Amino acid sequence: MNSFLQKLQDMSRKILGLHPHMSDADIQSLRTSFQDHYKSFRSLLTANNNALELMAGMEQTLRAGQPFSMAFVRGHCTALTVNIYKMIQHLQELSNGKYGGLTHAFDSISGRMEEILSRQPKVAEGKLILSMSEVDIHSTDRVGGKMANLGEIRNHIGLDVPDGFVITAAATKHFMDSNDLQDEINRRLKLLDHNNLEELYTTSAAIQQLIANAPLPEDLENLIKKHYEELAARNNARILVSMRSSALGEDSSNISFAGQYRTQLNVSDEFLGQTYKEIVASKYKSQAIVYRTQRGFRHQDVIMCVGCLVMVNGTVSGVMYSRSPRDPRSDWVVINAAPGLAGNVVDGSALTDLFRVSRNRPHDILTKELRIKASSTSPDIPESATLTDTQAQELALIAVRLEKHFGSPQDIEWSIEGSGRIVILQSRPLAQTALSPAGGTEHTDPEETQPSLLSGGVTASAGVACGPVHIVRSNIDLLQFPKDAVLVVEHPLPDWATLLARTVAVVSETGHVTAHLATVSREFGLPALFGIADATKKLCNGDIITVDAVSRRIYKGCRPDLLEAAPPPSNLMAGSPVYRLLEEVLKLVTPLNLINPASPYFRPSSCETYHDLTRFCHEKAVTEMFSFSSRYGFDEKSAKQLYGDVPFQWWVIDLEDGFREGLDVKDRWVRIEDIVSLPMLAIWEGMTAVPWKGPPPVDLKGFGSILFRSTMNPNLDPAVRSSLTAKSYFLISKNFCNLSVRLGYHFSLVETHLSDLLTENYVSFQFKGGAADDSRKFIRVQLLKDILEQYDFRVEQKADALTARIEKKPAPFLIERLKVLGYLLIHTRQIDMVMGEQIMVENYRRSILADLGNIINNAP
Amino acid sequence: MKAHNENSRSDANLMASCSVLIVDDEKDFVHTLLKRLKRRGLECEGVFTGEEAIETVKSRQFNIVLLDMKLPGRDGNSTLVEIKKIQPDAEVIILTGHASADDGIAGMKNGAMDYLMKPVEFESLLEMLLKAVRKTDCSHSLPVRDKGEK
Repeated sequence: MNSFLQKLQDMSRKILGLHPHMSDADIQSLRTSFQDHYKSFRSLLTANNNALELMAGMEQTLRAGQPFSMAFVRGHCTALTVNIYKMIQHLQELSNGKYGGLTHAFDSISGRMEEILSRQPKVAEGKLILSMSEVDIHSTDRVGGKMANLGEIRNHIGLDVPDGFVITAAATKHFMDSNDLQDEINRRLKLLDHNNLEELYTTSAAIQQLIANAPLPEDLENLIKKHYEELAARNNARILVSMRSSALGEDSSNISFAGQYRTQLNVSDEFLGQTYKEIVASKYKSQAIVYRTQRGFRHQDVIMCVGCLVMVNGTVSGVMYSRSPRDPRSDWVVINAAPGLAGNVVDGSALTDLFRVSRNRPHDILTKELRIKASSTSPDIPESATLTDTQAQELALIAVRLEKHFGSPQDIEWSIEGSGRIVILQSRPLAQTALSPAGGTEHTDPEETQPSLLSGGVTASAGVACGPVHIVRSNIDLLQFPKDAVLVVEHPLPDWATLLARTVAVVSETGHVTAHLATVSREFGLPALFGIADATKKLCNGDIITVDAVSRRIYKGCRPDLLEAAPPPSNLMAGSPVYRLLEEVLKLVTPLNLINPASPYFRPSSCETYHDLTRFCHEKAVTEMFSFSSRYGFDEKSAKQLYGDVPFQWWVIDLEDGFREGLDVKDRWVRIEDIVSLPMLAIWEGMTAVPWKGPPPVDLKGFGSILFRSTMNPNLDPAVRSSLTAKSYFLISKNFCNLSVRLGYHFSLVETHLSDLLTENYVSFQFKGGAADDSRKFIRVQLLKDILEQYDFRVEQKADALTARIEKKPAPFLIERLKVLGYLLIHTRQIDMVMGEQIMVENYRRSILADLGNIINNAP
Repeated sequence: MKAHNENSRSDANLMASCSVLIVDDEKDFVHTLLKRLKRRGLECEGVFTGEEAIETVKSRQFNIVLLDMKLPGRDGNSTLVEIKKIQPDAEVIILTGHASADDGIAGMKNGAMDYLMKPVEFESLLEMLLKAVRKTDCSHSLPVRDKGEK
């Protein structure tokens, strides 16, 4: 094909612009070439539509705040890249390889994108095991946040923490690599349907099993043993250790992963290796998988390290917050304490005594709630509080010191041994719920007349939500949990966190603000109300309730008034690794730098993003189709002027089967009756349905603005030849139409394809320009946007430019929208001049909508 | 554009005359898709590896191959090349979830007709199959599409 076209072009040049005499065979070859060109053009447009749709999907996902995975980002980037690649290939076919520079721009953008997508978190190399004396905040990338903080507390704050050592990230990598585990795990996770809870549990269990069954490398096993023996020797006894997960990525700002992973107490030496593997495996517990997916972490972003710490014989243990989790400005420390070890307090199952202690010396006790004694009739429970005032004051002092050292409010696990020694087990940033004024403070509305079903308890996480009750007592209840139900439980166990992606609110009979489930609820932005006695008995499955965790009330039915008053949910993904990655990738995708095709800057080397490439390829493809006839002296496909009683001047180029059969294709004129292009006829119907009344009467200010701008901008002077004074063309086939309209100072473009395949159907509309000043143009574009949105277009507006699209709708639906565009093209062309007054805008809006109502079938 | 009924009828004929091979290691996905496509009158078969796909196309003619990129053993692109050698007229549609951009582009260079991202809406997949069917030779075996045909 190319050599034939080349020959023809040479011949045309030789005879200096005169049309060469063509044989029938030449004409037939030209027809075939043109058909091939048209095929490439159509394929290019399909790829263009796919690319634009993918871009819109990516942007929308980033804005919406709904969870998305790395697979989403990767899948979209690849599909987008393939479609851009196809556009470039098709443009090269159309232009006989004229735009080689595009390949360079494409390679550069796709290369940078791949670099971002394949970036892996680096595992710090170094020792497989570090002693607690070697660990501090700077070891975070080797031992995880939890153990790094604990080392910092021991080595730089000088508080007591349990003696021990940490099995590092390098060790975990060594273990996983030596068994070749990661590929298999990734494969299984990729197959996982996150909405299928049963599948989630099966996959989670299988992956954990896989890890737990893999043998430890011998060197690592020996090292663990050696460090344990040294630890035992230092403590003069055969000791038991607690083994604690400490994941990299854990404890970063406002991301706690609270209670997601495994901690094992009382481990003796023969179980060290097995327990280590089980904790590494707990990275894939179902709730941890859900948590990471919901919060925008790639599984590879989290690497498990394990702390082995001498067991603390706590007689009293608990959790404290250096400030109230509900009020970042609060001036007191919140301490929850229970007899025994800390585990029961953090998993939310134990009842605790609550102390509020002043943050300031001498740390006065502000309130005490002795809930353990109050709820028990057992004679074994002592009358006194679990903590003495002195102990509570000492703890408060520690909380304030830790906050000062780490620079933010802290959530601290502690234990007091029989000897009275206070040992810190963990300190991490506190996940706080800020109560904005919109969310209200504790409910004291005297107007509130509707009685609540249940009330009281504590706000574990603020917010209001409504949904059907679903009571969960066992794993079977859990599997049947419907989407968007209210989770009602007896105890706020960390296991229920798997459901946080499906639930709208949490109600628990026991527990308090320090439970892991409370922390995680706050991080998910879910209202949680704990300590509602008999909730599982008084509420029934399926009952619709409104949980107001701020006023601590549960109402029957849905309460839109309360829901509306609640602050909007925050974007859970924002700032997460996957979110940041999509943000970074989108910088290579969506910005549009190539705006004006007439600018010398409009060239392949200026393409900095995929959007630029689509814009360039689309523009040049249209130009190629447009200029085919003049390039090869092919009259059949030259532009023909519409004649008859038509407003303005229009030229038509037939791409395939847009003219009626039997029309003399050499004619320079064409009537509207000769056109059989369905989309062109629809646009035309809209253009001509209501006669144009001519330019609106212009107020002096509007006219002045146009005169002024004409003197400033030579493009606006009709005496100067520029793209703005070019003609208006329809490029058509039976099902396709590309209309570029240049009316005076305005430029607009309509492109559409109608077929029986929904995936191939679209209408796109671009509008820019006007002669009035920016504010008038802006008001007109705003008016257009409002109207187009009423007719189901997805509209984007940037200053005085507007793009609107509809995709994947049946042809009859799109035909009506084309009429709308036809009407708007004619009737809004000069109204920017009168857009100075609001009342005029409203008049035009009313009149336009009334006209459209008459023209369009099934107008909204 | 033809009237909808006429199209549906002739497209149904077209689809029924075409055979589709699904190559994907997600067994559940293959089974579900086979069931749904058969319900729409398509003749189809599913395999789980590239090697099986190549063996299958050696013994049977297919009009369309739906090919995953991430396959255990022989990968999607090398499978694609082999399939195209054995059956150059078969239209191969890549249907995959996590391929890299390089794999996707290689697929196009190796002659795939198009690239679809998982998860795909079933109706969109059907339209893609229809596009492929209209392109392939299987329409030749059909009687001429007569407007008056019942």
